[in-house]
Amino acid sequence: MTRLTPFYYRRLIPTLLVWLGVLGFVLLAEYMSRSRWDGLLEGVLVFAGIDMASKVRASTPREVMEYLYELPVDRRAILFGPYQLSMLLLLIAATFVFLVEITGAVYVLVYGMRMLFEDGFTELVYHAQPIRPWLNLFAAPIVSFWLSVLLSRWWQKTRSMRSYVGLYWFVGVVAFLLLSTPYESSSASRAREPADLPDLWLHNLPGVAALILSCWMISIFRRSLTSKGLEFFPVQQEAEEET
Amino acid sequence: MHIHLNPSSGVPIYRQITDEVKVAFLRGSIRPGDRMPSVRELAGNLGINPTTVVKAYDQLENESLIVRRQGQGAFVADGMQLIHPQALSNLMTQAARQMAIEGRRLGLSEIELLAFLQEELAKLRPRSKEKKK
Amino acid sequence: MNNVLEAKGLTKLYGTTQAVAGLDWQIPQGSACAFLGPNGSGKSTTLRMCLGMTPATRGTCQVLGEDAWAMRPQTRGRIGYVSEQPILPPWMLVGRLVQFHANFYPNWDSAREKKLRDLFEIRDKERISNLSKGQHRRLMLFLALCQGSDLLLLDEPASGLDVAARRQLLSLLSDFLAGDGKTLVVSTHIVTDIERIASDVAFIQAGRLLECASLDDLKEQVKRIRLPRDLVLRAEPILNRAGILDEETNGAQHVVTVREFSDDLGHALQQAVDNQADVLNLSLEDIYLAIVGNKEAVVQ
Repeated sequence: MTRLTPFYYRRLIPTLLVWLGVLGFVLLAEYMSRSRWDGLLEGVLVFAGIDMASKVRASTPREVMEYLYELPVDRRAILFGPYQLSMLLLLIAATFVFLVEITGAVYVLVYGMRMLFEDGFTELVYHAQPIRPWLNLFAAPIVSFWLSVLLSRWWQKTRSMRSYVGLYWFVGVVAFLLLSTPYESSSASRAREPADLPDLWLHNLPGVAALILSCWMISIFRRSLTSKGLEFFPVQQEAEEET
Repeated sequence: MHIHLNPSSGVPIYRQITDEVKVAFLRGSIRPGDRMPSVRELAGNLGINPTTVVKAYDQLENESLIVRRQGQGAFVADGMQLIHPQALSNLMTQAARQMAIEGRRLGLSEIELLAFLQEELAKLRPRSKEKKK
Repeated sequence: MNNVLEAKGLTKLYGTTQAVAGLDWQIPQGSACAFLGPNGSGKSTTLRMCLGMTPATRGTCQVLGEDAWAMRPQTRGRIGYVSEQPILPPWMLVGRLVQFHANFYPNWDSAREKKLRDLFEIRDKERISNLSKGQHRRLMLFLALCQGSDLLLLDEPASGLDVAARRQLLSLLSDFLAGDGKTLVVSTHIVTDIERIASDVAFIQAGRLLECASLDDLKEQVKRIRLPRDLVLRAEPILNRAGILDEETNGAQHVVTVREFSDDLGHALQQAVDNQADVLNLSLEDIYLAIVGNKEAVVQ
């Protein structure tokens, strides 16, 4: 917690709701699904996590960032503030989900919903491997956060961000694969059986594809929004400022 | 003491202040021994830079028209009584010059210019006096 | 006295556009400097560089003895800034923001806060997004005046304020300047307001400093001379010595604005033209137009 926290927290609330929505949806879907489209969901979630931090910045208008820069606060603290706060919230959320899992609350929830689904559904749920989704859901976004923090600093310094962003996504994809591998479950609830590497690739392909696709789409989306006057990275926009 | 400023007149503000102080004396609104407003007070009221007031007071002090007493502020000095002829002529010269310049610009002759002056003087004459005549 | 602000060759490029082009500028401690220039002449960018809000492309800028971009937070805390744009977080309540803001400033002047609250009509319960532009600016000024700064940088503080509020602002600035070693820099294109308070003026155009001088000196030195057209030839050598800023002929009259007028020069001139020249005083606005307008004509 810093002196800036009261400033940022309100910015985070709307983001947090979206985030928790996605989180809940994916969590349930992970427990319920047998399909290889798990990967896709994970990809979306990883992306949502990554995007959260920048959303906080994005939802802070440029002028207001200006106000912060004027305060006697280290520039770094201002840039890192939203990330620190989103990290904190993520960790709280992660702890919460973890508690839900180890206390079995999620099974109660899923059990309560069983009539909505086909027979034998709850069977599968009981066999779910809790540790893997937990890590997948939280570790990747957290790592991504800090990468994106570091990158946004590089971005401001060099302006030649293309290669860094490329590197970033490369790291993201590798991290995604690595995280998927060791926690591959053998439980009945999982369509993804432990397998050799090519098989793993095959299983994760949809997720990877979704990841890359969503990055690409988001980058286009952002560019079009930026050209319409919405600013995601205040410092980057300085060039269009009054001259 | 009322000080009237016209910041955009082209005359430096500190000089306007020194002139106004002299006018205030000539009109009898301040007398030797009176306390001058403090720098902060005067600057705040007029919305001007305190250093300008300091500069004006320095000038007045140099001319021995005010004295500053440690910790008490500035006071109108006895020297003020001596300014009469000189200050009058200074202040009037400016106004007269203004009028002369304007007259020349409009191409008026000396007599015409004086006629204007007399006319204006007549307007300013108190009515009561007119009646007595 | 030492300089509060010292810029050398300060340059800011946006792409290929030069917003500020090699600015050399010194502001001594205790001065009240009016920073004048047309819209888009680089005033805001210069102030923002001085505050370390944006890095200079080239050149250096020392503020309160430190490089502006690498300024320590404590040093930045000695600077008050009011930007041209409303920059306060719209989602916050006024009272909460004042609290939040005051927290950062160890020299926060609570006595002054109390005094100015009524004057600035600060209502704690109001949300900042509901403030009008003038109210928003008043709030920014309120914060800047209460934070006990040594250097106050105001970017177009008067725009959006009515006449009474502007006059009030001048009184408050006067009060600020009465403090020990306080320095004020006001960027504006409304020249008349600043004429009361400024001790120095700096003219900027197209990112370049055209002039930086004491206002009193400028008023004594920049004069407009009106003389009959047929006497121009006789007056010319003397006028040239005074540095002609601007010249025009209206019918039978020739009007010249010069930069370096002096009493000696005036005598010489009157002698040459047989007392036919009228020497006119200029307001800051006239001086500004003569100096800035002149350069504009040259550029065009």
